[in-house]
Amino acid sequence: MPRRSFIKKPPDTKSVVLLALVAAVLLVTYIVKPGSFTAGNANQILLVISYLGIMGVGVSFLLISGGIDFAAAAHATCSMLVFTEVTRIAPALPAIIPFLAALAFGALAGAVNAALVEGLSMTSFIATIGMASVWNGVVMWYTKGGTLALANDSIIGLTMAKIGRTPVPWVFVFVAALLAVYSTVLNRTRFGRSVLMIGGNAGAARLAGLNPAKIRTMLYINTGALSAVCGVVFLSLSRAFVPKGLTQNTPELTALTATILGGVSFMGGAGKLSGAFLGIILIQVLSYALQILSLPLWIVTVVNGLLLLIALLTDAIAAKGRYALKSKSHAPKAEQTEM
Amino acid sequence: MEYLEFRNVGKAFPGVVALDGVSFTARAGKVVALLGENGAGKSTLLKILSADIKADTGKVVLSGKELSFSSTAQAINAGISVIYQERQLIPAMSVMENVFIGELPVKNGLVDFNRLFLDTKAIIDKFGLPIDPEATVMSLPVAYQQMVEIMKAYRRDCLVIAFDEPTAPLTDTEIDILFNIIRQLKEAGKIIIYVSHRIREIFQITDEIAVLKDGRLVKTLTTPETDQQELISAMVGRDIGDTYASLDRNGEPGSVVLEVDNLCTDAVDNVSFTLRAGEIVGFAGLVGAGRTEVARAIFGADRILSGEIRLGGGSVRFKTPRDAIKAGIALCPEDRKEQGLVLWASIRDNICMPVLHKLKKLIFLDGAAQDRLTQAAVEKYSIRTPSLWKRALELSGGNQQKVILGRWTSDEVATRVLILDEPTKGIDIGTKAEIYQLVCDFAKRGVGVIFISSELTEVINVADRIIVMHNGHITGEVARQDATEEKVLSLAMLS
Repeated sequence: MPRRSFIKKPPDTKSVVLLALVAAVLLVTYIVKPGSFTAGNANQILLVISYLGIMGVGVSFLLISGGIDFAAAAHATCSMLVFTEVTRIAPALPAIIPFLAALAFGALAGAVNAALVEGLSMTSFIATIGMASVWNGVVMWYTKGGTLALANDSIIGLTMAKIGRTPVPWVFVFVAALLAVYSTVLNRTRFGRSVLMIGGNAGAARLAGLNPAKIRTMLYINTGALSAVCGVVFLSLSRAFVPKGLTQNTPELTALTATILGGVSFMGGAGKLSGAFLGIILIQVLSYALQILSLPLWIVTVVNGLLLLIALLTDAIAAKGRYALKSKSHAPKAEQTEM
Repeated sequence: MEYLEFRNVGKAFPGVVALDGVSFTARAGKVVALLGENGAGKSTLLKILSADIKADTGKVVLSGKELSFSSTAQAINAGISVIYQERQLIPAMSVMENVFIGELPVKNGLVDFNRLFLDTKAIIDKFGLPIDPEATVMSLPVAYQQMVEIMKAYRRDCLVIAFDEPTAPLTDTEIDILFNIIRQLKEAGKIIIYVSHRIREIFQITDEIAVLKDGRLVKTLTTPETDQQELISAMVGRDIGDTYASLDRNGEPGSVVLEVDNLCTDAVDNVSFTLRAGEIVGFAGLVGAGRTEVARAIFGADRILSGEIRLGGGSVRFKTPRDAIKAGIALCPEDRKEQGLVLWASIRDNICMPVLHKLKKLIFLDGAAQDRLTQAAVEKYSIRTPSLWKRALELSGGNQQKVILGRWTSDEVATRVLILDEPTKGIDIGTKAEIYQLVCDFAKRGVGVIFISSELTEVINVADRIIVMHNGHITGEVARQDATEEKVLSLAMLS
């Protein structure tokens, strides 16, 4: 009886390359500045990877389905504001209540994106950039640009807690678990396979009875909710609501770059969440290394831009053939369909 | 006994009647061929069957029940599968997931990949194919990709399976595999519709033949009781109107302007011909015969593998269409909307496009000169429009074609060779006649015209000489005086 050949999967070169790059960056940093390998630095990097990773999981899941969300950072910022304000109004409540409020806001904001893109057929690219601007404007209006203090320190501990004496924060473990759950959904459930299918060829998927608009709507909402979680983690780190604290670093672009670096196709239909996560690790380690090596900020900015271009280039190369079914048979003299 | 019946099905598109009261029945366990020239209405009929478009009149009945679907997905669920040439697959995903798309087996909430593998393997074995269920679809040769599409229909247990030109991308061995599978489906009692214009295959695989012409059902025949001659005469034999007789032609072609010697590209094999100034050379053949590809190669749009092209005696090989245009070659592509026009731009912009560099005052465009040029073209070709600024997409197909022709006629473009690819496709009869005369006018001015058309009547009556292609080769050449539709069709079909 024939069996599935589970081991026959092609080697995941992309992940190997990413890991090698991370190792190379660490090695160079260690050689140039051995003193920088401290528990404190490790903790800092892991914390940044954590909140970016949460956003990255949402963004890459959506990207695989063929959608895109440029409003993720704006959603996260607004969610932080919701959390801050709920805490201010009712400081006695346990932190879970403002958290749920932030989560609800994120999901709602995601639903707005879905309504624009899937309901009104707007281009996701532009519609979500537009919504990002709207939400950022709302934050500016509400806060008048000022920092808001947290009414209590109920969530400070969220990012303070570490595993024993290691520099690994518990929130990182949470993100790793989140990644595992979402990876399983993508790779092993019918819903996850449908996400890949609608990203790969929405027309064919629709003809097969799948509902791309409905699936993408769920993913927009999911991205919004995860952005809210990302925001709460960031709030715990910054210990106060700073209107541009998150958006000034354009984490939505970082998440997107990392996602594509990790092998998720910009056009949808292909990719792994673990690859996206590795991409985030690489970008963070690299940018931290550049800072430790005291390179000026402009170099960091240029490097980030180049990374995005490299990621898109590898995606463009990989995409050849993925979307166009080969029109030629292996026989050279076959008739061609007319242009 | 299950059956599929088309009852008086009609469909009109703006300016064209695609189907006119077509009625015929396909029975279970039989393969029915839909035969007809390009534009006869075969594809429209399939699209109505798959609920891709709605018929204006008539109905489709499956075993006594009238079919009415609001989406193609509904048609599939009702057991109707149309396998188009454009395969509806997800290239980056595995064969097994493509076959079971929409209904992946699940165990404990997770996809049961083991069962998926085994179930797919069972179907593959039944078909006798060497396909790995876990291979991605994009790694398969085209024939097997098509098999995956068929397996999908088979897995859904569709009662009706329609094939649209399934053998076009296949080699002979691959065709044998396909035919074996069709025979299996037939024995399983499926209703099979087979669209093709390859007569040899129709005799190999079908039981009945429905011949369509100009949207009408001409005849239904039982395959073993007919022959090639009967089929061909059923497909052709339309009335030749006075249109052609009254064309004002160019009597005397000049010297040779274009010579093509042993041209080879990916899709064209050893094509040689000459074209004289003031001569109209028709290219006949079936869709996919390589006519468009010859044009594209000359125009610098496709890579030339070997061979020589001489323009006015000098050897040329254009790297880009831009070079070809500069040398005086103009191409009106088959797909007006995608490749011919900038749809949202004005008539003026579309007509002036290739000569903008000549319509300048210092560094700015000379608006008055553009107006003059456009006005001249609009009058010359009687393009029916209230203003030069109307956008191309608001024009009818015929007027769009005139705009494209107008682009190549101004004094600013010295067109020496004009290549027309299906210039009258989707255009009403009246405008067709105007376009024929415009083509003759080009010839009278000494332009060499290559006239590619899949409409036999048209190509043998407009062109001075007709070159016939099949499968990338030239299979023959006929002068207009000797040309009959039967003669040309035989060359195009019977290799």
